[in-house]
This record gives sequence, structure tokens and C-alpha cells, in this order.
Amino acid sequence: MNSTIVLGIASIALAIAFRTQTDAYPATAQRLPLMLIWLVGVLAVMMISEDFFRRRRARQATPVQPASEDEPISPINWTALCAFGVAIVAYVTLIPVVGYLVTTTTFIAGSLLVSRIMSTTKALMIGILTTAGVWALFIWALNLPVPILPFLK
Amino acid sequence: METSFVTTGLFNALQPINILAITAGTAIGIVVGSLPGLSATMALALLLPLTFSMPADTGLCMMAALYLAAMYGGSISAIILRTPGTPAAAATVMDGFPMGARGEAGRALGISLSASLVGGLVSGIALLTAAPFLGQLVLLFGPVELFAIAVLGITMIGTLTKGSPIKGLLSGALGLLLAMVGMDSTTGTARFTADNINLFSGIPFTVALIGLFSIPQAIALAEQSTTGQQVTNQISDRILPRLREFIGMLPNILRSSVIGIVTGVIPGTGGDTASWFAYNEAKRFAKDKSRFGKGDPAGVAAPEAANNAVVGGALIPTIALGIPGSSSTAVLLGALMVHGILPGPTLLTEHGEITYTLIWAVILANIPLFLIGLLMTRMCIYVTKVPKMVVAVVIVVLSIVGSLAINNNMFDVWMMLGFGAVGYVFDRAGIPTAPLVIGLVLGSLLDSSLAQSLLIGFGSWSVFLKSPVAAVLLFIALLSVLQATPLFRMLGRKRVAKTQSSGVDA
Repeated sequence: MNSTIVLGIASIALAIAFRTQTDAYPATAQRLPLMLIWLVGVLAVMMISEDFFRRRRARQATPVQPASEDEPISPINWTALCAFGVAIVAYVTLIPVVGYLVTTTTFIAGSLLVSRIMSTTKALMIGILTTAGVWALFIWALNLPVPILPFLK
Repeated sequence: METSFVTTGLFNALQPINILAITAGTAIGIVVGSLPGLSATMALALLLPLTFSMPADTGLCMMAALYLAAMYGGSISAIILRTPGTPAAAATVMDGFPMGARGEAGRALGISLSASLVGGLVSGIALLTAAPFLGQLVLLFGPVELFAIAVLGITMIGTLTKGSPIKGLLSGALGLLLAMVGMDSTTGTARFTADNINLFSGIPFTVALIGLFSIPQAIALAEQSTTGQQVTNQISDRILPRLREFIGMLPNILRSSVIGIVTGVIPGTGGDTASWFAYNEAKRFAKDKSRFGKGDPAGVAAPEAANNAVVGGALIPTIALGIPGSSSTAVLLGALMVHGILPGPTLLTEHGEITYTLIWAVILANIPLFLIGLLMTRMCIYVTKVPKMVVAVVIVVLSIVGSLAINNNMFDVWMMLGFGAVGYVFDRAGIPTAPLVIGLVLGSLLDSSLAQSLLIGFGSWSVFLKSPVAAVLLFIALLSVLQATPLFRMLGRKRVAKTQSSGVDA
């Protein structure tokens, strides 16, 4: 299943999920949302149909003709996508527990090491310097509230 | 034009702290623009949390300067690497890279910088002149007309953005629908919040912006992390063009600037459209068209003047009508909203001081852009060598820390990542994210103006037909939607076929 169909189905699902809630709202509060729910549903169906017909036309025309009018998109690098996605989720999960300093350095150095584009020393250096730079900018200079080392509290 | 606001805005923009912000924004913009794969919108979204603790005018000065400078920055990698740093610099590759290949990279960058300076200045002046007049006109508008403007804005952005108009419209409709999450301003009802208190005040615009524009780019960079950038051209000649050469190119630069301004005013079209348009016009006006594509300086000057001129042009509807014409101007409008300034006609009246400071920042930023551009261009070549994975992890860290800093709430961070995932799937499916963002911005305006209009019309929808302005605007919106449908395309094909067959018969 391609991304367009996935998004079309997800949009219809979102419209249905929103539609199930609108009945509980006063007439004034549900007026515009209802219109938008229908609009999203109709446009999602149109998008799926457009994609289907475009693919069918492309198959009928020549086998080498691309299915989409848009610019060609490179194939998904699933290994990199999954590894990077897991690293981001782990990073965000651990910030409130371990704090910004440890998680950020580990996330940066770990990602650079896994991608095998540089040595351990270089990756650690970049990790520490970037963590310090972002800390100086956001936390020290602008005094923005980010948990630094919460386990010490 | 309210002259007191104009002078106060100029005075504000000239404050040392704001000059510093403009300079810093310019330097960041040039660096970000020169990095292939990073857009001005992403940099603006990441900069947004940093501006929270700054005064509104300082934050806006920094963001406006960044937006303008990123347009020039994009030409550095276009000329040196044959890869446009931003989509707006794609046309610059055509003649910029061949110039670099024959040892004139410095000259090409100098022409790009000078053209950017003129384009930026002309569009800044156009913004200062046109926005107040439009703003005066908008003051005569009530909720009925405002509703029509918002509908027209979203339909035009949806249908004119790159790719399928249905996808653009769906993106805009999804943005509007997501803007309905939170307390209804008329009845106080909590809508689509799933009883989650974090959603009662709606989806935080900044969080959505950071996720939509930063995370997909970080993932894309991580996916390509094994492929390195190859610096192909070197700067070995002088950057600053000679006065005679510059004067010779002025008609082309000025024409391209006008193209940039006009393109920028139209919602949904941006720097990339303007630069190709200007490039084609420069080629059409050229005495020797055969030199284009082989390193003609006019082929560098035209797109660069146009893409910088888009900045002022795109800000005209943003400031005058409160309707952002592009994702970058939506972020700028978001920055105003963060400081409690809501989009709409009051931008030029109640919040005139801040708005005119932003306008002056757009004009004044051209000076540091030229000076810093001369100093930093050589350095930016080294920046383009930074491994993609390093850029990707830095973007992720800035996105997470930035979204956490907004309310010190981990829910925002997860929501940002959710929007990041949506943005990534949007990119894969070829669905533009700009209409979604603009839908998120305009959602509350559309909701409140609809409620007020129907109150005025005693619940009758005919209120939109009784106002001639609203009726015309809604009719144009309907046309813009209809021209995007397969029916119109079919009619167009039939007309072409008929013309061709009558031509053959004749």
C-alpha cells in the first residue's frame, strides 16, 4: 500500500473519529467542524480515486512511465528510518528520567556511531559540544525550563 | 498610511538589540540556506521557541532576517555543489554551477548576493507601501468579508501548491479540522479533546510547526547519511561584482524583483515558482538565449533577485489581511500569535508598532545580508561539508528541546513527534504541508468569523451573498477549487483538441 492510500484511509478514519463526537456539542459548536469533517472525507476519497486512476493509466500507457506526475521520490531506507525512529523515541522517553545532559550526549554520539560515518572520539566530541551548545543557548542564556539531571533531585 | 507607526517601527528596528537580532538572524539564515536539505521554514520553526523569551519586536526582527538570508544562502550550494540549498535556489543551479565550473564561482556568488540585495530592498519597499493601503481597505471589512478572505486564502493555497490540487486542498482541510480541537470560542465547549487537559487550549501551533518542518527533514537526512557532499567548485576569484557589470544587469534584476513580489503576493506560490518564472523571463529578454544554461550571469541574477523579492511580496497578504501566503510567512504569523498578536486587520492598527518593526526589519536585513554574505560566503563552503547525520541529530535535539521549552510539558514533545511522523508521510505521499499549517493558523479566524457572520445574518447563510465583496471572494474561491477538478482539466483538454482540429481544417 502506498503513502497516498495510507494517508487517505487515515484521513477518513480521523473524519469518522471526529464525527462520532460532534453530536454531543451544541449546534453552534458543531457547525464548522461538521462541514470540515465532510470536506476531509470527500477529499480523501477523491485523493484515493485519483491515485488509483493515475496508476491504472500509467500501467496502460507504458510500463516505464512513472505512476505519479510529481517528482520521483527516493525509496524509503527502512533500516535508517527504523533505527533513527527508535533512537528518537528512546531519547524522548528518557529525558524526564535521566535528564537532558546524559540523554542528549548519548543520543547524538550513539546515532553518529551507529551510522558509521566517524570515529568514536569524534562522535563523542560532537555529542558533548552540541549538548553544551544547546544547553548554553536554551537553558543558560534563555532560562528555558528543561530537566537537566532530574534523578539528582 | 499611519506615519507615526512607520517612524516608531523604524526607530524600534534600529534599536541596538534589534540590529543585533537582525545580524544574528542573517548569519543563521545564510548558514542554514547553504546546507542542502534544510529549508528556511524549518529554521524559522526551530528559532521560534528561542524568541519566546525575547521582546516581540526583537524575535520578529531575527526571524525576518533569517527568512531573507536563507534565500541567498540557498545559492551557495547551488553554485558550489550543484545542489540547491533551498527549493527557491533550484533555478540558480542552471547557470550558477557552470559559472563556478569555469572558475567564476566568486563572480556567480557576488552576482547572486547583489541581486538578492536589490530584490530584498525593492520588495521591502513594496511591502512598506502596499501593506498599509490594503490594511486600510481591510478595516472596512466585517466578519462576513473576513470569512470569505480566509476561505479564499485556504483554497488558493491548496490549489496552487505544487502537485495535485486535491492533495493540497485535503492538506488545508485537515489543518482547519485540527484547528477545531480545543475550546470553542462561542460556546466554551471543549471539542475533540478526548478529555485530555493538554488539548483544551487547542493544538499548540509552534509544536505542530516544529514537528511538520523539522522531523521529516531530519529523517530524510538520516536516510541519506551514507552519501556525502562533494564540493565541486572552489572560489578563486573576487566576489563583489564590478559596478559596470552590476549596472548592466539592473534591468534584469529589477524585472525579476517585480516578478518575485507579484508571485509572493499570490498565496501558495513561493520562491521556487518565482525564481523559475524570473529565469524564463530573463532568457526571453536576452539578446543571446543560447548562453543560458552554460553560465550566463543573467541566469543567476534573475532567480536570486526574484526569490529574495518573494519575501516582501508574501508578507503583503500576511500583514494586510492576516492570511499567510506560504509556510514561512505562516511561521512568522505564528511568532506574532505567540506574543498575543492575532492575525487579522488589527495587525496594522492595534499592533502597528510591532508590525511596522517587522516591515522595517525586512528592509534593513538586506544591509547585513550583503555585508555578512561577503564575509561568510567562503566559510559556508566548509559548512556544506558537515555530514548529513550530524545535521539530522542536531535538528532532532533542537526540535525536542524547543518544543519542551514551550510549556515544559512532555505531551508537547510527543505531539511534535506525532506531527513529525505526519509530515514525513505527507512528504512521501507528495502532499504539501504548507496548506496544513495555514489551515491550523486560519482555523480559529474562520470559526469565529463564521459564528459572527451567522449572528449578523440571523442564522441565514445568505449573509455571504448580501455582501458584494464576500460574494466575489467566495466566487473566486469556488472557481479556484473548480479549476482543480478533473472536470475542468477535461474541458481544457477538449478545448485544446478542438483548437488543434480547427487549425488542421484551416
